[in-house]
Amino acid sequence: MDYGDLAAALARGMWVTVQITAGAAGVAVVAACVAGLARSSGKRLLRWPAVVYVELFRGTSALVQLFWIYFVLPRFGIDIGAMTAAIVALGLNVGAYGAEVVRGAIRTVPQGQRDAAAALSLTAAQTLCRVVWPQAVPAMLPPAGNLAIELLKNSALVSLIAVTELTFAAQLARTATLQTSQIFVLVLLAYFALALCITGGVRFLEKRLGATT
Amino acid sequence: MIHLRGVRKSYGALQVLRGVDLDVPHGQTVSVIGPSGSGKSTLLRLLMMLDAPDTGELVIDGERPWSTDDHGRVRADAAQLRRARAKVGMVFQHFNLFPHMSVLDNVMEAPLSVLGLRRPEARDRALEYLGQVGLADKAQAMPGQLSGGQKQRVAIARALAMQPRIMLFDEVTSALDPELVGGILALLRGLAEPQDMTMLIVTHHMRFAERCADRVLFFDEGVIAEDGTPAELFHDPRHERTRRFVAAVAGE
Amino acid sequence: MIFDWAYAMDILPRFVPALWVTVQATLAGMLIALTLGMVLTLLRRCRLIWVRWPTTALIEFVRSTPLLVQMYFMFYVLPEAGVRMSAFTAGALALGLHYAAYCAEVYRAGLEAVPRGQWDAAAALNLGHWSTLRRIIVPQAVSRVVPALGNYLVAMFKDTPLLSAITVVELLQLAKMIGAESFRYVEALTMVGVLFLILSLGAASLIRALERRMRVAHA
Repeated sequence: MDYGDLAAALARGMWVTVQITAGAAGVAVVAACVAGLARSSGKRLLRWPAVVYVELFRGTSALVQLFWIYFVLPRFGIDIGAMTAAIVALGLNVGAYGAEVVRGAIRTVPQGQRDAAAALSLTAAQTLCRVVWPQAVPAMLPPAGNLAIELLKNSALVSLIAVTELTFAAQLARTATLQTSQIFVLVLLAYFALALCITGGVRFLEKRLGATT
Repeated sequence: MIHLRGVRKSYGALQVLRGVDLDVPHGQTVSVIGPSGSGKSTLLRLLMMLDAPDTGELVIDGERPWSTDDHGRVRADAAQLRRARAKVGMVFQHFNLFPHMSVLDNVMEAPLSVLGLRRPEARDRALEYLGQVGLADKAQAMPGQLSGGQKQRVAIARALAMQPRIMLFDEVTSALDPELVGGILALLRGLAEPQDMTMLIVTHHMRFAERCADRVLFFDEGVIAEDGTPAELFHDPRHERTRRFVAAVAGE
Repeated sequence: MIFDWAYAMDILPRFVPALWVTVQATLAGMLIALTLGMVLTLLRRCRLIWVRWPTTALIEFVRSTPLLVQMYFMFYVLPEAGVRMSAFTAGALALGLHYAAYCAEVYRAGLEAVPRGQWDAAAALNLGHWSTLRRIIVPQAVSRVVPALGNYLVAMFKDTPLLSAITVVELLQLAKMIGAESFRYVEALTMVGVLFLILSLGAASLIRALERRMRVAHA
């Protein structure tokens, strides 16, 4: 394995890492919005399942969740590939933290806004979509950016169920070349670069949203 | 006692002091008036040596806390700064009591850890000054349990307990409810009387500034616009802008 | 039967030593994180820019790269440099280093939350920099810092399964071993999940109680 092969292998792994992170982020956004809104709801039937989901995923370890979904679900007849298991597990894990972000942001919208919407006879759905949600989103962005970086870092866990992402590619390269220190320094720098991209992206979004509100 | 020459100070792009010259002899009580943002509080922060001047000369009772290095930057000599600060005490608009310490501990802290007094001595001294401001019975209270006026009295006792030669009062009644202002002003008047302490009082209370001070400074746009006795400043000002300010504030 | 309760109860005692390893790793890691975090905070407050800037960069770097890779780094790279240590030590060090960066942020936020006027008042009373920190600023920062540190303690506890990747037999590694010998992953992994859930929810509610008590003591 020469340097060109090594770089190519790591680059392929990096691309898989990006795919996993992006896919899991999608799962997380959906899970966070659904659970966060359900938890903010006045109806107990909506609130309780959300509480169970959030506490279950925040109370256990991300790696244990990943293993459970990968090893245990197939025994119940749900057979999904390693890649899907990775995206679902990481997404649901971060989504649980995201649900708390959504709930917190919704709470920062003053009651007066809801009162004003009610005074204008807006329906509950209209109040949420037209009044509360647009005001809550800017408050969600900074913590969501932090969660995105947590997600990127957690994507390394997927190497432990043999998905060939960046960390697993590094492990393969390490056993092949024994150039351990160079490989790991390179991999750490690659993750740092990806994290910087996320930070930059979130800043850009903040500025865009800040300009419109 | 206080000697300033050509003192300038900016915060970022904002020039707050644009060349202040001032000499205050020992024992004088000086009121400092002027519109907000005119540099009064900044002057006090410089005299307390919380901030360094950008340029100019500042001498406190013979001590020069700042020196200018070869690159023209102002630097503090730690020992000199400590000696100079020991001569000055300051009371703040928002009291700045230490919320995690009892009233007694607030007053005892500096005598213990700066002057190196022993516990019983520091305690006696603290109780003496708390008595002077009329709060000996609140010694064990926490700051959070006190009214604004009481907090400000504790802050005054805390500064006095260091027995400074110069006392600075930065709008000490501005954060108080109106009914508590009179008591604090009476306390200041009592402190000014013995003439053994130099006092600079930044205040919005013109009548107080007139009655209790030996001298009044009118600050405007970062300079001392007028400097004279209370009678001169309030009844026969030399400058039109002084007259306008006094008239406007008196009308409130 | 998909989930065999009897079997789950059978294997439960085997988790006790593994749980002990997990707890030890958490405590050792936290001790390192608390201390190293303090050092990082002091370095970042240093007046010299060539001390301050690299410290800030290091904190950012550690916070934005995966703990797992940092653990591999400790486990595979340091021995190449002649530093020999057990897998447990490497793991605890990695946990400690990773969370030290977070602790440094917590300390900084705690110090910055103390109002500027407290520094002014201390300076006006002629207190030195160290006694101002020790007597005035730090005591006021503690009530803000402790709950945040508690949350990171729980987070670190939940990160201990990563030690399994460098051969430390903690809870998850044991579950995998049991799974491999009996092909009963369901019970073993579920037990680990339940143990984590109970312990971290318990710890979280303890922290909330502590937070409430500190708020009362300060009011």
